[in-house]
Amino acid sequence: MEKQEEIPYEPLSKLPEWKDIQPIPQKESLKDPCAILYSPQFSEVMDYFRAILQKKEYSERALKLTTEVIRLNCSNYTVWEYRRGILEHLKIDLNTELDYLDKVIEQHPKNYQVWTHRVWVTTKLNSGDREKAFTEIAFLNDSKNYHAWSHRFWAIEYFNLWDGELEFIDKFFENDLRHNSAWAARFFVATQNGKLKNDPKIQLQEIEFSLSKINLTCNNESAWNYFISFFEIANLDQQQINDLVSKIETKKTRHRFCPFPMSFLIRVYSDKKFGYFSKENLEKAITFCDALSDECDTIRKAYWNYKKIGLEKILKEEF
Amino acid sequence: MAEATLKKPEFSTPQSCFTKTYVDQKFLETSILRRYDLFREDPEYSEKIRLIRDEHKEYLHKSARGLSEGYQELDASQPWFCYWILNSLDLLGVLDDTSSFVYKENLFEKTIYTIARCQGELGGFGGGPLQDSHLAPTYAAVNALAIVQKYHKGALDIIDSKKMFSFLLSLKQPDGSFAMHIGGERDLRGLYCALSVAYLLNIQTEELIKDSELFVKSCQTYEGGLASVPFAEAHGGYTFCGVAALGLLGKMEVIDVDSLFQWLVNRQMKFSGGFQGRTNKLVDGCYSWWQGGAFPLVVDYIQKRDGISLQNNNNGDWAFHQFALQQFILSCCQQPDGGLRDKPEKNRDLYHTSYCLSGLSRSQYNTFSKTTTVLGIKENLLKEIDHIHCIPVDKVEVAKLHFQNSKLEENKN
Ligand SMILES: [Zn+2]
Repeated sequence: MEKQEEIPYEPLSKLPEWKDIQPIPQKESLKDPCAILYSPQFSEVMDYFRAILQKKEYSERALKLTTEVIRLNCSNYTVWEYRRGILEHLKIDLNTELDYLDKVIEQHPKNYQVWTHRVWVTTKLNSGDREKAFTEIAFLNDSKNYHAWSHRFWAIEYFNLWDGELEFIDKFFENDLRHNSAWAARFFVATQNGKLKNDPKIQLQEIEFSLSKINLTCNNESAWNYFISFFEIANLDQQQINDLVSKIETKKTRHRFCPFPMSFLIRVYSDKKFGYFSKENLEKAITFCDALSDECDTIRKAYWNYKKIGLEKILKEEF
Repeated sequence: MAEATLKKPEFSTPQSCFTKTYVDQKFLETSILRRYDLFREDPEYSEKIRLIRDEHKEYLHKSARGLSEGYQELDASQPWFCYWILNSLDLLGVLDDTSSFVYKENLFEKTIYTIARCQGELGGFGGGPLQDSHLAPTYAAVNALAIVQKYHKGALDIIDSKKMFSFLLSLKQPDGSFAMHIGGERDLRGLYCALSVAYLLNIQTEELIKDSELFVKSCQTYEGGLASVPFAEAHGGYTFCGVAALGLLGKMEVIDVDSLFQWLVNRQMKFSGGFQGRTNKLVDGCYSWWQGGAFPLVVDYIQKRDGISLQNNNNGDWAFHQFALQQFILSCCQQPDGGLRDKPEKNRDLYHTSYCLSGLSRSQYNTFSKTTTVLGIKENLLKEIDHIHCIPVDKVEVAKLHFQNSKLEENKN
């Protein structure tokens, strides 16, 4: 918005190029609830755009006009869709379009339409060569930009750009172990979008990776969520499970107020599949629920009470 | 009303790793602490804390009269303004007050007029007159009209259901998802908007809803929450969309509800009491709705499955800390001159006003035990919000009644 005022505005109605067009106003906007008080420039550009849209004119001047509308409001999905029609009709070199789009996205990195358009352009070009470098620039501005990550994942999958990606994501962890977008990215890349989720080698590698990060800081939910998700699906033998569980038990003693080790152990102690299911361990798990609900994680009191009720039910049924 | 036992704020546990995420969080906690200090200095503050209804009403009134130039970038979201304003006013009880400005200034007629002009020739609604139809403004338009219907019969009659059906169907994808518009992106928002509209209008045919639950399932991440698309990060906004869609379809069981539940409860911040949108991100008032609003369907499913009750005498039905959320909304999200916001440093806007109020209503009403949980003065109680469509419950009833007799066969043509 701020940048608009700097550019001197030449009314379209004064330009000979637009003489033949009868602008279409939005009409009676005073009657609208919450009518926007448009600037004269915004209104005029939109009036001409509506006229062009109705005519279905696919021309150079129409393309220029869409650029103008986008500059004023890049969320206007109608104009983007119309622009795609013009680009196809005029057979415009889409590399130029990508240059243009680079600039628009740099100004509006959190807009849906710009990224949708980028998928369209790169698909048409059938090249994702610029996508990794481009999203990297977007991350400089906001390293957790949801659109940029989604676009990067899409491009990696679509254009098969997996090489070097794990190393790229590692850089985010150097600065910030709690960077959850990087953890989600790690999952996407390590499992090749889920395809390798059941590969025992990958499972062990990712369990070790996340555990090494938990060792650096225990109070990091991102790392725990990652660790637990692989622990749940991994085909571990009892010795491997025992090694991991005893490590977490040590953490529980060391980080008395950290909720995550207890939360993990409640899960392990109460499911027969992990080999820890006993009366004694269930009772221990119940004391963990109490500690969480009364001391360490009181905001989730209701949740831990619910867990406790479930454990007590199992205890009664099984022992 | 249960006793308002307020939580003392708990700082995040100190850690050796001072990461950026961690420092941002500390910074915000310090600023919120200044507000929560009031609670400790004045023991009666929790009873006195209030929703500044008049100020919010005034802000909404001003917005209804006209929006500043800054709103130009939302020119393609015009039905959303109508919905956010009407939903907020309705939750505040203003629409039921015939002496309010709403009646003097014919807000209902004006809303119908504005929205009617956004209806596309091929069905659905666009973001403004002559804009392409799009699922987001379609959802907002239908919700706004459903709110108006109770006060102005005929509001819902402007919707062409047959064309709406073919519009929705034209966006349906083979994987069960919906594109937002022709040539648009596909994600859980589109699915939710399409199904919310279809179920209100009673046009949810087998053909329209086929495989939708499979798309929702494919969006569940390793964390338990849902992402916009199958390969992204779990996120509150998309999680609500997916959960509400499964609620409509009656197919909650297709996802791992236990991991979803754990992810969901963990989004409530132990310090501020508000919700964050993603793991390790900052609190934001709008997630009071997106996260808080997902609880009823999840809790309902779990209670039935496990044959137990999650009701908590002191706190309510929803398994999140309802008082703590209200404390966050009332002390951090209200702008002193009206309107609600993301967090103290941010400015109010209509989006956050509508979703903070919706989240507040969610945390006040215990639908199962038919009780309320209200922090502060009893006048803080809003009207009850519907857990799927995000409009007051009485409006959902009116809309469903209106469309219950329209036969599906008639709509298919
Ligand atoms: Zn927000």
